[in-house]
Amino acid sequence: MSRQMLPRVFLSQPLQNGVSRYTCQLKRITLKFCKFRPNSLGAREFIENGDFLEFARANPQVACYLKPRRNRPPVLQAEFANGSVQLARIDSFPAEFVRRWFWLMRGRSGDDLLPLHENLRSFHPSVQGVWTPFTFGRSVGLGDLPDSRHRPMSPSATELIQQLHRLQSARMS
Amino acid sequence: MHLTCPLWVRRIPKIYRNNDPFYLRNLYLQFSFLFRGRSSRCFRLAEQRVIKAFQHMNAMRAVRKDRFKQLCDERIDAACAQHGIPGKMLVDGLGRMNIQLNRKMLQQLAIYEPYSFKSLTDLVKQYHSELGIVPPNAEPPAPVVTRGLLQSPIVPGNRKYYE
Repeated sequence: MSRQMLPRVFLSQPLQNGVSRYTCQLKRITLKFCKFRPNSLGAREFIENGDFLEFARANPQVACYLKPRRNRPPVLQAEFANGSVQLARIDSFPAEFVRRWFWLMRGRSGDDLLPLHENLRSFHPSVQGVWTPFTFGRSVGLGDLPDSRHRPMSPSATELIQQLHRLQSARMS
Repeated sequence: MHLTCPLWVRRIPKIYRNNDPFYLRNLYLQFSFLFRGRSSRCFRLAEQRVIKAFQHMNAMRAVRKDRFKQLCDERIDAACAQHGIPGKMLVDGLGRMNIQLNRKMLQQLAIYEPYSFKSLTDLVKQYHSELGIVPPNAEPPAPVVTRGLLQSPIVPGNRKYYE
């Protein structure tokens, strides 16, 4: 049932990002926090320690916003190039965890988080050539037909006619 | 059929009070929407099928690992049989030579890099022939000078013995 409910996908990047050129997919990141409530303490420390500015300076391609909201739990909202919006609840997180979430969003492509078939994907999985029965000479699957190990086949049309002929000539003689 | 407003409103869930049965039933029906027939639409049937589906999911976790291992073993056995050695011998021999390839990687190599796989079988045949064990159906491997390195390979732990 789990595979029906959440279909699995293959690893992919939007527009093959990274094959020739890498573009950061994160466009805007907003840190919503409360200035007074204790569950926003980590977010406030993250800002006051200078980590927020460090992130903003290191990533000029990302628009970074701060949104103080009274009496609301802290939330990280990340918007990506493909239009998707991802929210990370950072309720009562330490500042270091908030920092890690920022950098995690920076590396995401915005695609939905779905279970993968495999953690790797390659369009050319084989360098030496995929194995075939002919790779090492014709040494696999050799045999003559009909094989005694197979179930006895019903007689072919030719054999039937030959049987009839034998019976007829036996009757005649 | 005209329903009055109160009939459309759901009883809002509160602590220590019964909330509307809609919420629990909808939860089960969310899990059952791809099921066959009325089990996907009717709660009384869906509840049974969904609980059974969860049990299957739980039970399959251990079984899935075993089945994958069996599949890998089958593939390695078939690939090794072409080179004349049993699959167990390959896995054991590589372990003894401290070549750390697990069954998953070995079956990937057997499918996608057949010549590398053949070279691994040659290594194993060489190792065993140095010990005097000759697999019956195998072609002898290409002559290689090993200087006893297969029997006592240099690993980070025993590097000092070879310096």
